[in-house]
Amino acid sequence: MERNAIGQGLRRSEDARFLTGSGRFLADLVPAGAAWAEIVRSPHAHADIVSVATDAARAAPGVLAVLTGADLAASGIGGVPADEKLIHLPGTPEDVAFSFRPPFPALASGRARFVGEPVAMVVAETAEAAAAAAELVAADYRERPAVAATEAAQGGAAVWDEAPDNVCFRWQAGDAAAAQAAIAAAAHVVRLRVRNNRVHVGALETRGAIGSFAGGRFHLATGTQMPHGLRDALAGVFGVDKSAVHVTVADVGGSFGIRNALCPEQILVLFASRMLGRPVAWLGSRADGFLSDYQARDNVADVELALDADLRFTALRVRTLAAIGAHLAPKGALSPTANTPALAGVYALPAIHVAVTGVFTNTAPTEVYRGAGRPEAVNLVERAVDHAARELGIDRLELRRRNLLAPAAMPYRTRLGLLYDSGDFPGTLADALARHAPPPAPRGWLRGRGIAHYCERVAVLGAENAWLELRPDGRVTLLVGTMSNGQGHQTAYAQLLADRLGIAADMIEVVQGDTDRIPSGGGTGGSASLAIGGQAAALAAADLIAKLTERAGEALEAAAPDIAYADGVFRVAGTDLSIAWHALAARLPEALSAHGMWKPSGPSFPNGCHVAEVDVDPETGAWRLAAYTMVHDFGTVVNPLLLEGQLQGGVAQGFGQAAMEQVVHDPESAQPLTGSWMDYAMPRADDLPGLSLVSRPTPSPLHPLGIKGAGEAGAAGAPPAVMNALLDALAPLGVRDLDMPATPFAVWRAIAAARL
Amino acid sequence: MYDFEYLKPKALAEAASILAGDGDAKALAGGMTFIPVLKQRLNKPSKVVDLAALGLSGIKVSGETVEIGAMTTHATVAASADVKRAIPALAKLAGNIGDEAVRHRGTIGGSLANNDPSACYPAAVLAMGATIVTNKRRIEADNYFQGMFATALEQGEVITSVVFPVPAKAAYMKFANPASRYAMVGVFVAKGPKGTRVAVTGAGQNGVFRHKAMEEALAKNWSADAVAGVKTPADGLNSDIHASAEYRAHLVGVMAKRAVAAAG
Ligand SMILES: Cc1cc2nc3c(=O)[nH]c(=O)nc-3n(C[C@H](O)[C@H](O)[C@H](O)COP(=O)(O)OP(=O)(O)OC[C@H]3O[C@@H](n4cnc5c(N)ncnc54)[C@H](O)[C@@H]3O)c2cc1C
Repeated sequence: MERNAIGQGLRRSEDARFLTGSGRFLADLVPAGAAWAEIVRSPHAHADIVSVATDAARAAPGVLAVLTGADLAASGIGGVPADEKLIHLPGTPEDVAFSFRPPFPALASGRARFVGEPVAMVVAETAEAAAAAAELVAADYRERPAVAATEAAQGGAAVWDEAPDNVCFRWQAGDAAAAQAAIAAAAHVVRLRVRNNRVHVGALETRGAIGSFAGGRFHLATGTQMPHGLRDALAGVFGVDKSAVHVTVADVGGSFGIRNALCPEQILVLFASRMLGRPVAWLGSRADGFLSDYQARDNVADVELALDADLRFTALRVRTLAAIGAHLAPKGALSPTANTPALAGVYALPAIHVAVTGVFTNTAPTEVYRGAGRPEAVNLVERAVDHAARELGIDRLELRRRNLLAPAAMPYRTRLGLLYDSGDFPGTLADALARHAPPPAPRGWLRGRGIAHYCERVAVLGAENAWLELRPDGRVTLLVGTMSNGQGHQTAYAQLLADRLGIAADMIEVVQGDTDRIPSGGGTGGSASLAIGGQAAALAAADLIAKLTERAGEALEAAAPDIAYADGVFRVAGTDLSIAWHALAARLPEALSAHGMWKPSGPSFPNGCHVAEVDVDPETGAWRLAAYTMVHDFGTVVNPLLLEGQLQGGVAQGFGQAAMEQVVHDPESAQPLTGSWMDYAMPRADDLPGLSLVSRPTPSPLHPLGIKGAGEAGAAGAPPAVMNALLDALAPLGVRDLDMPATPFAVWRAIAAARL
Repeated sequence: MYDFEYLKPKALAEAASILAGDGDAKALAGGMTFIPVLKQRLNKPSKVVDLAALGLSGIKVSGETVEIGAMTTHATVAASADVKRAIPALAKLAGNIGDEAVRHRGTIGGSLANNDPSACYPAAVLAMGATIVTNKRRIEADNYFQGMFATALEQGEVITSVVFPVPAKAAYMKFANPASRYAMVGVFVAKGPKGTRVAVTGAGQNGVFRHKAMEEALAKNWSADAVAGVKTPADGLNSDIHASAEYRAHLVGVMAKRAVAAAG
């Protein structure tokens, strides 16, 4: 694999390691001599913690320490830090601010606010001893009324005394007056309430953290997408300089946003290891994960779409209640606010206004998850468009065609401030319909088709740096601050560099996840790694070749400008003088370094159209996805196999949210009822048909390589495509509305209600 | 997991005597249910008695019966040409339990001893009127199932095999729970030496049960239409986040109808 490696379906070089059990996940990294931690969690959704008796646990065999909230408070350790400011978009009032930003100590003290909130940590010689002693920690609770449902938050029991109405923030964007005027003047206004179900991400590898403290420095081994961001956050928590914190990340079994943010256990292991003078490991169980991983989505939105007499959209107005959970997680306010520009979709929308109220409930905090607000927004728009078509008696495709932005309208600035650089939305729709070829429906089942467009703003994280080191053996090491969580970065970066450097991909080592070795990093998120980190790597490659050209000049006694590099050989123009990569490297007295930095001038806008075909058994409410087509534009495709993997997984996650995934709480006690895979439904391979994925790339004009980010698109388009298909199938039975997840039970109830 | 003593006796009598002699000793078959329970520290046995070396697996088919050893895995039953020929509905049922890994570890004896209210085998055993054979006695299906996770087994009693009378017609229809894929409602219909019987799993608050009204309707007229006309009351059926009692009652009707149609 040499030049022109870009575009080839290189197989993942990490897979041999993953598939043969030789990956290095957190459980593989526990050092000899480490102590083991077990977390005691609140069994109540809301309770005063009257006392926490730890004597019996401390006296248990092998126990080294039992920590409570009081210990942390006494040591002045900060809690999990959250964003201090809300985002400003066009129309956001200057003085917008959180109504209440609660503290988020790593161990609850005084009050527990969700089932699973850490209350104490036991550290012992073995995991078994820690688990046994954890059962001896006797916390005395006085239960309080709890609130679970987002719609019940305002007016429900107060999660925080300081926020009696359970409001964390009120935020808005867009033009309220213009939207109001357009709605008042509209020929038609269609209204719809859309619930975006709360999901548990359930990555393959459960959460965990290994803390150690030596020589005045903390070392945390954990899974994260943003090692440097985590380092900085931990430095703040412990009140130390960044240089006193070292974060390392090895292989990570999935994140999807959920490992972005600092979580309490990461603080706790470091605190305990400093106290005990030995490494402390916490490897969370699946049960820990179900209770205490950050969860995601959980919005209730009222949507109004105004249309003129020609059925052209005149305004979109959205009012959203967004569940924050019991604490404000680090990026807990991001999804419902910062990514609302996705509401503009692919349509000409002359007026948009969105108002969001973030509310506390006695539930696990919510965080970003694959798309982080974009899937939620896309779902609202695409559901509303289909709803309007049905209510107004017009064909969905015709309504879309009348309102889609035309390629001639590009570049187009949306009313929420994005500047779409390119996009052929009508063409994408036409292609998607042409390529969609579902098999015949089974007899007696109802067939439905759903369409959903998306246009995402991605790769906006900021700058990323890349460093290359060429060693005398000719091999190259890339150091970059993004972080693979299973996406295949090792392959993608090596492939991109093979293309740029003209050497074999297997000569390139990719190093991520070490804040000591890698000076800085923005991290992985927002589909940014290849789009930003990739370009930084490409620039570093150019730097390396420039430096090598100088060296080649010295070696060949020629002037650098006369030397051209191609296919692994430096040649002096017009002569037969040349030196090959390896020979030149061998002359290096020491490793040669190169550097590249890329900060995009703006986001990129991957976009596309999803078409879902479903078959519904009207007798039982069961249904299946019969066919799925996605036409997509991700700009330059570096590796079509990796891209397909991203799309398969993204569509599966979006389908999972539409079809079955939901964190359910008892409405009275706020106890979670989905505490294991027995009750939390995750999609399986046999739930999905083979996907028809069609690439229609237009290179990003803002990106030297033309790359747009691809990581989140599948999850953005699939929920509305699937829901629109179900509503299409059920329309003949009179069903007009259906919430996610559309379980067979929910579909059956919708059918039964429509029959009444 | 709490500490326990692991034993793997070579003789049934020895296994039975360990289990009978110690109220906190527990049998281990495939471990598909028991090991997760141990890992979650929900059970604290003194001894775990592995039944794997007792020679309790295997399938014997005579003209009138199919006898399946307690330690026979679901995968073995599903793949057995003998079972497929004699009681195809049973092979199919076994092949739809859990996933590949569960089917290669989970056993018929473990499933019946556990008597999960959503398990599949109990429906087959009850509908075909099978006999549970233990180290002590033979228990008729009608006397064996005694509510959720409750059976006629006594402390230390070990299931050794299950004897199914071969039915003339039989079929099982399972409506899977979307999360666990256990039966949210499963209906096994059979017409055979023990009469015309309909057993429902997944739906009842007390575990598997016979649907007498459907049995009567089918005894008169073995047809999908005959059961389609029988209403199933929601009283006594489970209600949870996956399905209300009413939905389960409805599904019992649909699954029964489809099972009769499939049985021919
Ligand atoms: C992911 C998953 C999905 C599943 N899906 C289904 C499904 O769809 N349908 C379904 O029916 N089942 C399902 N099961 C259950 C599975 O079929 C097993 O049969 C069941 O877990 C018990 O069998 P086992 O052999 O593993 O028993 P074990 O777990 O070893 O034992 C279970 C209990 O039975 C006792 N026991 C075991 N053998 C004997 C014996 N011979 N005599 C007396 N006592 C005994 C043990 O002491 C223990 O209390 C599923 C299980 C899992 C893990």
